[in-house]
Amino acid sequence: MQHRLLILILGAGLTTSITVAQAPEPSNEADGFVHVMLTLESQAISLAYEPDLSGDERARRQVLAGMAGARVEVGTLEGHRALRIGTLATDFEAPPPEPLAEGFPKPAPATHELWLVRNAQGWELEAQKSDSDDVNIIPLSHHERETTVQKFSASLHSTDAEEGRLELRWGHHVWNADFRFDELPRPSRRPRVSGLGQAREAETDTTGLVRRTMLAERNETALVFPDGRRIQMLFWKGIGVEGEDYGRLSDVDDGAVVPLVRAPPLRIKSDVGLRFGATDVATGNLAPGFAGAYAVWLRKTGTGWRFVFNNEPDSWGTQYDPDFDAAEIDVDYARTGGSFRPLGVTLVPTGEDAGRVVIHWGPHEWAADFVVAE
Amino acid sequence: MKIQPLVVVTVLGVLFTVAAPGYAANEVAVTYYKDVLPIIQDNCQTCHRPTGENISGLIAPMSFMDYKETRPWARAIARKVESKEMPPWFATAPKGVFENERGLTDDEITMIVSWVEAGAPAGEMVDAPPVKQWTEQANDGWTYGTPDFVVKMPEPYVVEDDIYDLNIQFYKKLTEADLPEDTWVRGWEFRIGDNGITHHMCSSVFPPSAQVHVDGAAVEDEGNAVTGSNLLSCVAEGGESGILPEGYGVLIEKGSMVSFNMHYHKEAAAGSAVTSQAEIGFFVSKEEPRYKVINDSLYNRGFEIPPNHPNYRIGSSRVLEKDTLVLTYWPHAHTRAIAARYTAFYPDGTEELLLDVPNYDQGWQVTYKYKEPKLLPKGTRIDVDFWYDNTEERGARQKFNSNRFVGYGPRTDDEMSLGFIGYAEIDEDLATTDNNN
Repeated sequence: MQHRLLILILGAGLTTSITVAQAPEPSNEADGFVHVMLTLESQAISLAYEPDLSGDERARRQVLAGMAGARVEVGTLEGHRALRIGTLATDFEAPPPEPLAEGFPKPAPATHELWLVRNAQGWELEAQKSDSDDVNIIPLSHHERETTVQKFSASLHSTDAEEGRLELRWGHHVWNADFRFDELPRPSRRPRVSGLGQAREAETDTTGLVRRTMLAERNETALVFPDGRRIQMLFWKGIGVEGEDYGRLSDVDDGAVVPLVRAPPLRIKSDVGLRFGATDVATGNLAPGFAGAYAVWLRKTGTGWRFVFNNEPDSWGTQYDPDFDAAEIDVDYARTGGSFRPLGVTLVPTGEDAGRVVIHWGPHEWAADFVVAE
Repeated sequence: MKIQPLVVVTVLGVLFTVAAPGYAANEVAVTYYKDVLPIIQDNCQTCHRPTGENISGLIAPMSFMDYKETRPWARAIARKVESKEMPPWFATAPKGVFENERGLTDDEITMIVSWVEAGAPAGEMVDAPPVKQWTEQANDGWTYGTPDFVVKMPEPYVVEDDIYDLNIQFYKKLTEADLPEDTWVRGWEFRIGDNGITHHMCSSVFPPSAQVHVDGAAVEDEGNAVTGSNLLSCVAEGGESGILPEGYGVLIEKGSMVSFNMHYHKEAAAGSAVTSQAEIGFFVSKEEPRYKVINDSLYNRGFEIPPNHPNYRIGSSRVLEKDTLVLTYWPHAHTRAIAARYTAFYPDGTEELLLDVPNYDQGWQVTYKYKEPKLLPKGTRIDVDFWYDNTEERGARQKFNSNRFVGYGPRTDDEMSLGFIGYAEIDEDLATTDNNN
């Protein structure tokens, strides 16, 4: 009997080991919160909130009813020290960060608890710094939609190279606040001294270095579920509406994908399988048991547009190869007026296990809803 | 009449012997001095000599300067040339355009194999060609003659026993004595020394206006990421130096600083410490060159190579903003790389394969140098592709962990995807003349 128990334990241990070895690389701690993140020019802003922040409690009901004086805590905001949103801004008087150890600044992001407040003047977020009594005010624009969402959600939209928009949804309310990253004084730099270097072991964890290198070229939007599983999309910096690539958007033939000469295609990496309508975009497409990774191309059709998920996520924007197509879906297309946004992507959470991919470029916007496929 | 098989074989044998061109084994005896040494002189001794041409310090492990040195390796030589592993050359296309292209003709391979099959006889010394004179024998070991000036790492650096992988920078400010005035150079030779642990060495020149601080944006700091600096070149295992064609040069301003970006990689073990003090020999242009040479790379550093993937592509691209004369290509990647390719897409819609390396070997970091600079017109797009094998099988051979995503990084265990090009842009006022030429 004892031997059987030992075998069971060893068996379970072996199974666990194999599972761990084949599990997707950990991308975020499972902290029970939904995280939305946006990194522009290597400067990040993120917002975390409870997934079941519903309107049940009295205070929440008062907020949703728009009662003056109502306030409720909705989440936590973290931002690079250059973040300016409302009165929350860079403290230029603060001592500069330490000289770069390996070429990159690594300041700890400031954390603020966010309270959604309805006062006599309108709507605002109170951002209370976690380790102090400092409170900043983030004025919110507000409108209502006919469709309602039962649970609170937030999303971060890039609108320019270093600017974006925070959007909150709850009930039939939609709130917005613009933000940007200030230009900071150049950090002090390491003198050019002989003999400074970086030694590494074979198993040295270089993921931080890899990520910094990645973000030196690309911007990132990410959505992290409460269990820590992450969806990440990367888009090249500076693909604006003045460049030749934007010009190709209007020249693309029906049936063709939009080529990019100055950038690779958009890239998605997901710890979870995604279902767009009836189409699955699975994990493990490149390595069984690991996250899925795809290039996302825009294909023009006779009647609209499609997202093409392709199994070469690190090809260049000139190197589309249909032999590697994995899935293709129809998407919603809308054209807004007067927008000069560079090429960008937003991952918008729309439910506990659901979201929306929104690609935008100038006035063009393409979007598709997904649910997490088990 | 029934023809006997033996007769057929005999007749065919005679026919083949008569018809076969070149060096059939049963023709006149093939000997070392008469037949093999000329091939070895022209194709092997560049590296296989006591101070062979190899800037990484990876001198070929054995010398083939005479019969005594060559004979013990005869069978291995036959195997290597028959399989075309030697002389090392990894580009299958284009052929005949690169000045440093290596390779034996089929006749030469047959000759060597026949010699070995015949017992590798020496023959008569009187049949031997004259002993080949190598430049460095008269130039203190420098391959291209005595440099006009030499810049050395400020101090010898000891790569200690416990070091496994180290990226480190050294700088040498050029004094009045080193370089009294602005100077155009037509070439340079990196000499790392016989340390056997240098994965690569890159060198940049920082003119006085660009010497303030390290920017820190580049992982390997190849120089092109540091504003105002000029990357001379990088060399790595199996690479070689070179002299620029006539009319091409690089300006080194008085008071410049020269960097030595060293990447050492070895087993960390007791007794493994090595001393390194690289130096660069510069060759000065007699007159101001017509074309200023630039070395930089096409890159895509945001990649992640999936675990256990056998053939993963990473691409990058660039559109030329001026008419451009290309001198060199150097595809640089690490242990997972298995193939590399450069392709030109011309403004008229045609395309051309510029370089195809279907069997990339990171142990042979070859710079592919045009015999004649290649003119690519303004508007040409160059695409660079690399393919990677991140499987367990390759990982076992190359000593890497295949069970993880791999991104861009400085260690040999990390990966790179850098399509270096050496080129000169043609100024508008020269474009007409050059295009006509």
